[in-house]
Amino acid sequence: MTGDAPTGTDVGSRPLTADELERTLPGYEGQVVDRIEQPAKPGLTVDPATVLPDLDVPFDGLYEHQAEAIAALQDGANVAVSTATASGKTYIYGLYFAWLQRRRPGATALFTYPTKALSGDQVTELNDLYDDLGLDVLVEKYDGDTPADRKRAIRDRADVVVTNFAGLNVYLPHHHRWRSTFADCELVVVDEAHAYTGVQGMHVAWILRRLLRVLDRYGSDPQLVCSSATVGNPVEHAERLTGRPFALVDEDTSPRGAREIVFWDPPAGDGGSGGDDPLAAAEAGRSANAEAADLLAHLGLSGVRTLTFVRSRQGAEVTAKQAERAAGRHPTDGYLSVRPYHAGHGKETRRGTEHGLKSGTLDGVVTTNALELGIDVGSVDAAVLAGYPGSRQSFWQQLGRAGRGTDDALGVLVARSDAIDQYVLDDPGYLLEDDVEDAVLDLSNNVVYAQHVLCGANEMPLTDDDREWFDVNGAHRPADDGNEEWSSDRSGDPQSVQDRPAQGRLPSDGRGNPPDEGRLDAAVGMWKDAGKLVGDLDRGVQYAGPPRPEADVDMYATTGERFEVRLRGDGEIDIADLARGRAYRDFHPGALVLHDGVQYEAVALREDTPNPYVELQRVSTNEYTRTQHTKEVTDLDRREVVDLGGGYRLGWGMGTVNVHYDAYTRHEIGSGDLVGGPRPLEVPPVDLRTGVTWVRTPPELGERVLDGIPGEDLLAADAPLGEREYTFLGGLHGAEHAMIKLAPLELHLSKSDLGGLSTLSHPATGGPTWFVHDAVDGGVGFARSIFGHASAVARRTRERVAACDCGVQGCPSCLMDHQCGNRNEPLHAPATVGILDAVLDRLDDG
Amino acid sequence: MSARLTALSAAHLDRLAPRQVADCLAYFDPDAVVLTDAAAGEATRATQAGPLADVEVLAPNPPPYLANRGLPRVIDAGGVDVVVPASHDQLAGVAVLEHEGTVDPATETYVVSDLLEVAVEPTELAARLDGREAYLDALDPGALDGSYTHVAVTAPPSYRRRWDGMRVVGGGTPESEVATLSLSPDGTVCTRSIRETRLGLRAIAGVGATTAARLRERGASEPDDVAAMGVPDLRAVDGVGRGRAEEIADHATAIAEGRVVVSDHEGFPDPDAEPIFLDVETDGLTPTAVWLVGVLDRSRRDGQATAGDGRFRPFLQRDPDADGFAVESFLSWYAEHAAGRPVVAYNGREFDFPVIERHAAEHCPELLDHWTTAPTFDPLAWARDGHAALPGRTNGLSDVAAALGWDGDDTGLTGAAVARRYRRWCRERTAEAELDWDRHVEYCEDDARALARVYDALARADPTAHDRGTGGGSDAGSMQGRLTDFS
Repeated sequence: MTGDAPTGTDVGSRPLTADELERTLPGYEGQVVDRIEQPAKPGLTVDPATVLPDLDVPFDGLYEHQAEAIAALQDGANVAVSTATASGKTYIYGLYFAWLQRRRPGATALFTYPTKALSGDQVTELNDLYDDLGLDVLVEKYDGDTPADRKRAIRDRADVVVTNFAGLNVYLPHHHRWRSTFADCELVVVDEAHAYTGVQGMHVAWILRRLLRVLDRYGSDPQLVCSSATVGNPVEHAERLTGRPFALVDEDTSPRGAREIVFWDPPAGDGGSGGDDPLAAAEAGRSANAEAADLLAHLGLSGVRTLTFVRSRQGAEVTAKQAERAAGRHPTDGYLSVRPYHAGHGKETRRGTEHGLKSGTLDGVVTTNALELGIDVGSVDAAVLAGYPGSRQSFWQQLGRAGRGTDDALGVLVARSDAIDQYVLDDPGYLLEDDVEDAVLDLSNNVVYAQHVLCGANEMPLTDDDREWFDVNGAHRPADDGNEEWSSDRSGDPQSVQDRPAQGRLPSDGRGNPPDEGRLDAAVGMWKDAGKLVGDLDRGVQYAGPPRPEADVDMYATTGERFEVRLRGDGEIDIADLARGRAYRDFHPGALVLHDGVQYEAVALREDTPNPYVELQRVSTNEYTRTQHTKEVTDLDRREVVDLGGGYRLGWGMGTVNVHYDAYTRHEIGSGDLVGGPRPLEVPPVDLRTGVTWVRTPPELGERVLDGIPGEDLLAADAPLGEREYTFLGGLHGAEHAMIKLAPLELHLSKSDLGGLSTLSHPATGGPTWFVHDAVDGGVGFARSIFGHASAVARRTRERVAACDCGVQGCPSCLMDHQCGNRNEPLHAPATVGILDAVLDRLDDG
Repeated sequence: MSARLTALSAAHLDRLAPRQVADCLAYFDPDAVVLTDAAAGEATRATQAGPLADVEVLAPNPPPYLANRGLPRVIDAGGVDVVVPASHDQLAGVAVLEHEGTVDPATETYVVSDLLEVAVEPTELAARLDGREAYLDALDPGALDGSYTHVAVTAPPSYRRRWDGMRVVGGGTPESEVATLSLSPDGTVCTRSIRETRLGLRAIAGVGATTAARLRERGASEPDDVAAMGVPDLRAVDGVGRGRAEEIADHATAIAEGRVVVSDHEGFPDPDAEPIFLDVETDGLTPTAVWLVGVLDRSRRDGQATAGDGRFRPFLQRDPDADGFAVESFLSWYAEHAAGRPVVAYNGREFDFPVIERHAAEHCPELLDHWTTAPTFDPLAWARDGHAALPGRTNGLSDVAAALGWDGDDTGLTGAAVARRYRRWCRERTAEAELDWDRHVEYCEDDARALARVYDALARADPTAHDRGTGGGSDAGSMQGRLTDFS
């Protein structure tokens, strides 16, 4: 121990509370801004014999929620289990299947998990369970890692096949090889169902329908279990995912130790002058990762085994190194054993890290959300989150990885400067509210739907009977309201599905939503015209396109066209493939890309090859770039419009979003000063046909809002707009930005899949309007879900903007957004609050 | 009789070595090559055609200074006229050609162009034929007497669709394959394709692009050369281990010598059990109807009498509403007369067997057990499982049987074309649409006999004589090669 340790440092105790952290952390600067104490909670158990009388269950008691779920399954229900991490969800379906096999020997099951790593973990756990029960039940993993010479034996022999949806997508066309599994399939489990939202969720929902359809042809009608972390709408989500009705089990009766959750605000950075550009100032501030690294070092050296969650693979690598360096500076001068963990590591490496945690040879691990899901990591004392993970569900899931069983635990949220992190710091009580985010899953994306119709036809001919699986939820019907001044110009469309008579069996999607009559006809008609399907639904529609249509399904995209991100020369970079719009915006040649603290310049963007890519090379500059664009929303096809009275309207529909990234600028980090003038960009405009939500206000709202704002707070005029108009536009623009940034407080969605547009007058709405749109071709349901939760999202937004103590033009913690194509101009926080107040009045009245 | 057009794109010409292009032309023996995009035209002009020097080359997309003049190019091959308009102006000249008698209205005329393009808008669940209006304006079909099929080089070669009564056929290139259209005087269009990986040395199992390049560096340019190398020389090639060297040697030998090379007979049916040879005709690849199950039940093999009665039995379902009739008739016969005998079908594991099982389960579940307990054997799957290497340019039955000396009827019809005809019969049910059943039964019998030829070759091959060569060239094929070397 060196002699310059700060006074008050006590390295002898294990800091598992805010007080202890404050007392023991070297150089503590008042970062703790709040805390939540969760008391310990005993578990509630019942005798296993009450529900499983003929099984020799090897534990003293079943948690009540486990018994309740098993009983519901025994009654024949499909069950959605939504409880905290480590509450024993696996045993629910594991034990139920054991019970089932006793009654129906030969029954098989398919258990699905979102990652191969989790599958491997669960296979071991389940086989151990069946061994303990003394049952001859064979659980086998079957996925892309399964050796070819093992596959047949697994298909023929396994009682439980553990797999994932990317795998099922490619196995389903070979269903005849799976006859023995499929013909006796009595149970299908979708574990971690909350993970299937957005684009991936859409694919999973259709793959599940394809699976259930194939099982149906083999005479199987399995029961379903969807297990998920806590989400706001577990039953709705499960029903949407599968198209079947579900019973809910969501009361968590597992025991828990005491836990303290600490809210940590890193000190302001000294990396820049602050300058005129608040975005630049924020970038120069101390990063949450670096702060988390210091905490990890301190906790690890104090005997607290710690999991640190960061947002990217590089972040995990860098933060782990930073933690080791921080340990070197730590007064205890101890040795810290830390490893990074993410999906980019090989299987053996990851197993080694997991073992190191379990066995206690590691003090800490820095991980991406790869360890958020239920892989067994043994007993961890603390979870440090470098940045709010974007949803309460993820937040609790990550925190829950510490303190398994009844051990006490510490959770630390290290906030970033983002609006959403700041919202959580302002109001930690938000995290304890009952109604956690809804999982957003939308089946109306026709691009994704049409791909799976092809796959379905390739698996078995499509007939009228298949409307049960495929005439689902397209939300084709435009809204029938005459309130909007403008009317759709989409008329006389020969493919218009409303003209088609309803045929055959028309089921619902399990939630009381009407079936989408004619959606299957429309898709079949399109693919017949395109030459990929032949025949008719009467006798059977067959696939006639190039082999393996399922290979075109990309679980993370609506279309196959993605840009790979490469690093020039040797080395790899772990940025996921990019959609076209994102590539044009952030990875055009000349763009500076900051990825986990390392700067790159995009040096090539190639799309005239079969596999489009962008190429980066490492640079070190004192600059950053901003891309400018012009955007239009046209061809609005209104699906639902709510007239809020007084000229206010809230609408949702499909629209064409045309974005042209036409220039970019370079700026100095710190000052934000422009380096040279705007540089032209030569990429073509991007057209997206996608989901759009809009809020239209009466033109006179501007005057009302501006009347409450002192003259000196108005924005300077920007010709042709005067200062009042420009300030009002700043309010609309701010409302658009902030709603997008804060929507994840209510909805489980990714804000990077959203975009927006604000205007003083839009031809389609005839008044001041802001649009929020999905940034995915065909839509992903996010804009629509904001429409459905407009009041709650607007309220959260208003709270954050009003609470922010920055100036009138906002800051990254409220209005500013890195992805803004207008250089975050104009933005006006008081006008935004005024506009949101007016809209909220109307929404609440409505 | 038909005109054969092989489609090549700029991407093909870029990816394929000249030797592979030549190989492809040798396989298809086309009347003409169609360059599907302008870049392909430029590439060929720049290289002075290369391997395309000796074949007629059609470019529907030449530079504008060539495209806007005069009448479209016409070739007369295989009893049909093929017109290649390079612009709408030239398309308008089709009427003139008909009037002049350059094209014969009595037979189908094929118009090959890039003026039509199929586009899908999945967000709207709608598809369009772009360029349709301008095309129809220029063509003026009302003024034409003959029957025309429009070959769109922008669409994949499996494409068939009527748009406003206009027959549109794809003439483009699928990914990683080369396709050839056979255009018949009666309007039948068949597509055959070969994977790029079956061209040149890559036709040999176990040889990828890298290994092919390394083999060429060692002077091997044909499968014969590779067969002559033998396992030790092959193992000396970078990246080739013992297992792969054996695989390569076996397949190269099979191709070079036109014989099967069998490693072992594990899993092969008992030599005493005379199998029945089966071929099915369906209405597509995920069929809703199996309308013909043809079974060859031989009475003699290798001069010996067998359990069979020597007949070919077609179980035929003419009536589109008699679902399952063919499968049910076949299974009834099998249960009564052939129970327990192996059922052999080429590619049966992937197609015929599961299709029969599914249709039996659906239409005659009482007979399903007879099927699920029947021993089945698929020579292609068995070979692929590593027991044998098959000769032939592709693994297709006709190529393999032809390499073994089988001289079958070349019907020119593909399974896809036959399926299309059956679907049309179901849809229209007119005398005109009705299939020539007898002819299809003959085709089916021909396939079953070709299959028997392949089966016999596999059965007879002696694994103990399994000689992968040591480079010494102990067999006729490579001996010839060596003699040539000395001449």
